[in-house]
Amino acid sequence: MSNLKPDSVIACLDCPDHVQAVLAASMWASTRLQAPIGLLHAVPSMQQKAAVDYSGCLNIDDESYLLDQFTIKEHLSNSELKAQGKLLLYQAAAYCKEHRHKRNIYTLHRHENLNESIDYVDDKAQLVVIGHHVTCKANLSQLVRLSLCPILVTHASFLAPTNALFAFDNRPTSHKLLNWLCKTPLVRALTIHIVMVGKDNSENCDALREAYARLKQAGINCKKVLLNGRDVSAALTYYQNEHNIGLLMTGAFGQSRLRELLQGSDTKKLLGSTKTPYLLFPRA
Amino acid sequence: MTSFFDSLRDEWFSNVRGDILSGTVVALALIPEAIAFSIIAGVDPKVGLYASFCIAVVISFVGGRPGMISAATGAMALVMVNLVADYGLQYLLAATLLCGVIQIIMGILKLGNLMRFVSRSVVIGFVNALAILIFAAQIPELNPMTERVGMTVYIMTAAGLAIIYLFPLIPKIGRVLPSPLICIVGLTVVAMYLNLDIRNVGSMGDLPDSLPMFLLPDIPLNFNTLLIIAPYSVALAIIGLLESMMTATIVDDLTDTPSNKNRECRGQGIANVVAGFFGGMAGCAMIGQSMINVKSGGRARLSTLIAGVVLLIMVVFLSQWVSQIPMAALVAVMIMVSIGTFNWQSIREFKTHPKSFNIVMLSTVLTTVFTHNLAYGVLVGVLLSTLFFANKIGHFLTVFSEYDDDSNSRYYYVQGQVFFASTTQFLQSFDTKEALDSIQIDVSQAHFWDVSAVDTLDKLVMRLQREGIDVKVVGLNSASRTLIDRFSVHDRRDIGLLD
Repeated sequence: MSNLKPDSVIACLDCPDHVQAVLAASMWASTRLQAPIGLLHAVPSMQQKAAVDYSGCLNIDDESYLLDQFTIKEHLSNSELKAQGKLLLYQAAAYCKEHRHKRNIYTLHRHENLNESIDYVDDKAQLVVIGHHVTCKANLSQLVRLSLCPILVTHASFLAPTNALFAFDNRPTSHKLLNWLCKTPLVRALTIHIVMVGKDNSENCDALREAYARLKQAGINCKKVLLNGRDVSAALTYYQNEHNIGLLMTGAFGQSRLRELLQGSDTKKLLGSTKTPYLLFPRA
Repeated sequence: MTSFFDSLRDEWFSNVRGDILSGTVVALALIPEAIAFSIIAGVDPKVGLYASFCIAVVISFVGGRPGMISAATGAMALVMVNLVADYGLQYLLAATLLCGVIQIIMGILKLGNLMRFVSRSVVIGFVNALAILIFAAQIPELNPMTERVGMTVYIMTAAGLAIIYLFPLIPKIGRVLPSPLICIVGLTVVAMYLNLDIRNVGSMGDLPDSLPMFLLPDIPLNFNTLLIIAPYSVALAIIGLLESMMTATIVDDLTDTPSNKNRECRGQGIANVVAGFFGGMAGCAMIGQSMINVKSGGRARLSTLIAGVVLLIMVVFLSQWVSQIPMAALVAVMIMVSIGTFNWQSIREFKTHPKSFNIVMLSTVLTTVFTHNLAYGVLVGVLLSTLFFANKIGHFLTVFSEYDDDSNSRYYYVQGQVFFASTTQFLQSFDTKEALDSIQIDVSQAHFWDVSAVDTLDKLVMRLQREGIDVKVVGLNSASRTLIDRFSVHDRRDIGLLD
């Protein structure tokens, strides 16, 4: 039924500033994952809101006449909108070709909000790439929270990373991320720093050692670090800057809503502060 | 002419011995019921007895279901209680006449054909509910709180049941005489011989001592009278026909022979008109007595006629002996009827039947048992089975599509039935959020059944058009086209609906 190809990398061409970065990141991921790229352009169609209240002024047959008029008007304005979107998608595809991207590229052009589109693609896609700014009503953290597949957030310029920081906190979401990392070819060639922020006790050490062993076993070059500190996001940012790490990877919103309300969300803080590409793995 | 005599022989004299014997048993079983229902309706026992005689005799000639017994019934009696209480017997007779007229009209309009909307699950539910009601009606006769009910009654009833179920096992005689008759005669003889102090038919009320006479209801003939009796007459007519049709279906099933439902409708009407003129209350087919009749070997019209005539003879001329029949004997017969009526198979196969079947069956049973109104039970059952059917047919809808890359267009194929129950599914099968240039909807394998389907197609087309997509509908069949021509708002638009 749908044009969506399974296991593709979805590039969300949402904010004009980030189009190039999103494309670059998608091409990088698509090469690693050996997956097709789906260029997703989602823009909500224009709806004629009942701008004028005609009640009391209408004759009996006016309703269907007005309906016709509104429909024609919307048809025209949405056609125009569609043409713009088409042009953007065409240019994006051309850009990928220019960079001699080898994987299959196809377009998904939809008349809806980005969050609805992510809902549409997330059960089939392998990875969704989003620019750091989004133009739809929802903000980035809302989008991430909704998604069922991993999301890669990129800033205005994308540099292919050589090493990655895996924030490990021994919670279910980070275990899921760990499993995913062991399997996915996306980060196979990178050096992964497994960073845990917490007390230096035997429980944390054991968990960290186990995670390290599993990545090693999967054939991934990695290091493990246990940072002592209370402010998780600050510690991670500091470590990342220190070691000049090009990719941040965490589970997304692993805490319960209640704890998030009390303590604030580390994911949200990191999303705000990080300047590198950021891979978020869904909780569900 | 031969064919006339052939059918005469088939319908009347194909089973003379069985019919006479079973008719006699039925007559015995009719007496207490007719009396009991008269008491329910609040009239003299003779009103119910005359009605039973008139209806049974008339229906044997004009009915459409040979072997089915019609007489005064409880379902009808329950409807007329208020009329009798407020206005008296004469208005009841008038209502009975009008009810008959309405039933005749319904028969002429062939409303009997509506029976085909009553599914098998409803019939089984109805039968089970009746079995439960028949059994429940016997409980007062076994209740120790009732006057003159004690150990003797229980022993008599048990003996009656033993006779009914064991007598047929006796070689030769067991097959010749119907066991319910033996039970009634035997227990009466025992009760009279031992002079037992237990309830008998005589304690239900006095039996009439004269033949029924033709008389016109003594009411003012004006519009006001009509307003009073019309609602009762309509209710009586509907319930009477419903119960008669259901009973006819069951008898059809049991005897594996067809019946003429529309003739039965007219027959019920004529019988009620006659009953009204002879001072009887309205009645209809009785499932219990019909079951006794069929199970005692009655098949042809003769059995019904015998039942009516024997009833009258016994009531009028043999009332001394008839009033001596112990209720325990009749209770035993009715318990047998209840056990025989209940569809035990429906319980055995409860697990294997589809869920919808069981739900319809149980709803019919529960509604009937709790409201004591067969009409409500059947109504609920028919409604539910209709809903289940609509739901099932609604699933026969598939939509699949093909994307064309060159023209950025999509071709949707719709297959199946689009009607009120499947419109949501129909709408959900389309992805209106996809930014396409054009869409073609191929409905050549689909059928649009009703206004909601047309509305939904309208809505879909408009939604797509508003998204800036060009829509074309192709392959509309002519029946759907007529509907759309009449009800669509978009027929004027250029979407190919009426090409």
